Amino acid sequence: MSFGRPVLHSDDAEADRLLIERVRRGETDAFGALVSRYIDRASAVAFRIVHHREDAEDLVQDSFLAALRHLDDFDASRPFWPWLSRIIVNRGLDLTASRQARLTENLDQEVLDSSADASADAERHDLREQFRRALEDLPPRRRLVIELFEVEGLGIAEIAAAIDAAPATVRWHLHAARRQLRAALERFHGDFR
Amino acid sequence: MKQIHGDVTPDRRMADAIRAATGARRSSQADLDALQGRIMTAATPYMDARLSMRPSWLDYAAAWSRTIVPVGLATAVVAASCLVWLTSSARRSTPSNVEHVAMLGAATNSVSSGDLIDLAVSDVEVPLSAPAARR
Repeated sequence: MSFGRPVLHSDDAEADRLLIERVRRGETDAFGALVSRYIDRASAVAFRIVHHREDAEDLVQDSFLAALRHLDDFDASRPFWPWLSRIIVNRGLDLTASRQARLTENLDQEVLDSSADASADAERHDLREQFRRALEDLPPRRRLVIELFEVEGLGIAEIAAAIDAAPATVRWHLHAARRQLRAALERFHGDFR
Repeated sequence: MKQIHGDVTPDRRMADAIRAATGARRSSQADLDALQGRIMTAATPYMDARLSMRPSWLDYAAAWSRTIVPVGLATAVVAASCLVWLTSSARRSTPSNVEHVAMLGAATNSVSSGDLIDLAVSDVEVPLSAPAARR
């Protein structure tokens, strides 16, 4: 899934500001509109962190509620999405650290599910497993950077805001992740197409 | 699809490989709607709390009272000062010694008309004993 609009415009920020003012006054409809605006992006980012749909949904719900609880601390003159994405990333990385065993179990099941078509054979499954292990060997933050950039189509600046790092740091993570995965990718080139 | 993000270009093969390895679960609109419903239900207590924190007219009155009471007190002090000033000013506006001497001199015909004119245009107060100096 790609968001298709990795850069937020000033209109978005202004619309966010108005919605946030209304939410602060206790208007439920405004909170609904805010959730509606970002639930798609939030779900995509959450899935890239926890790699499990139900966990991703829990993470999104938890993050929106955390944002609501701390909305008075938020500077409404700034765009809402970077703040929300930081909440999702921080909570998500904490969650994956505490649920590592469960995550691995579910990923195994997902890979089996996705390769359960008629053309799947043992060798292909093996190659995919090796790439997956190479991906899992990446540090969580680095893995998140490459997944958000390559799969979700987020820009460097947006990822930097989400993981609370400088754009140069994001580029460095991306470069390092690609270097680590490149060998596995070249070996199994064509098997994922 | 190639996109340019600053000086870094996404790698399509890498993206496909990651999708294949991790799954590319895209939530359907129905999934997102259901999730939004869950979020809104869970948010109800927080929104209710915000609503109850919303200021009523009593809060406005209480907030204004913190301004109005000092302003009222200050106004009372200023009004009292004005009254005191006006009273003393009225007292000062009673005939001065010069006028008193001139009127007394004129009434008793003890001051010449030239001296009366002098008294009328003079800023210098004349001692009360002046009318006694009969010419």
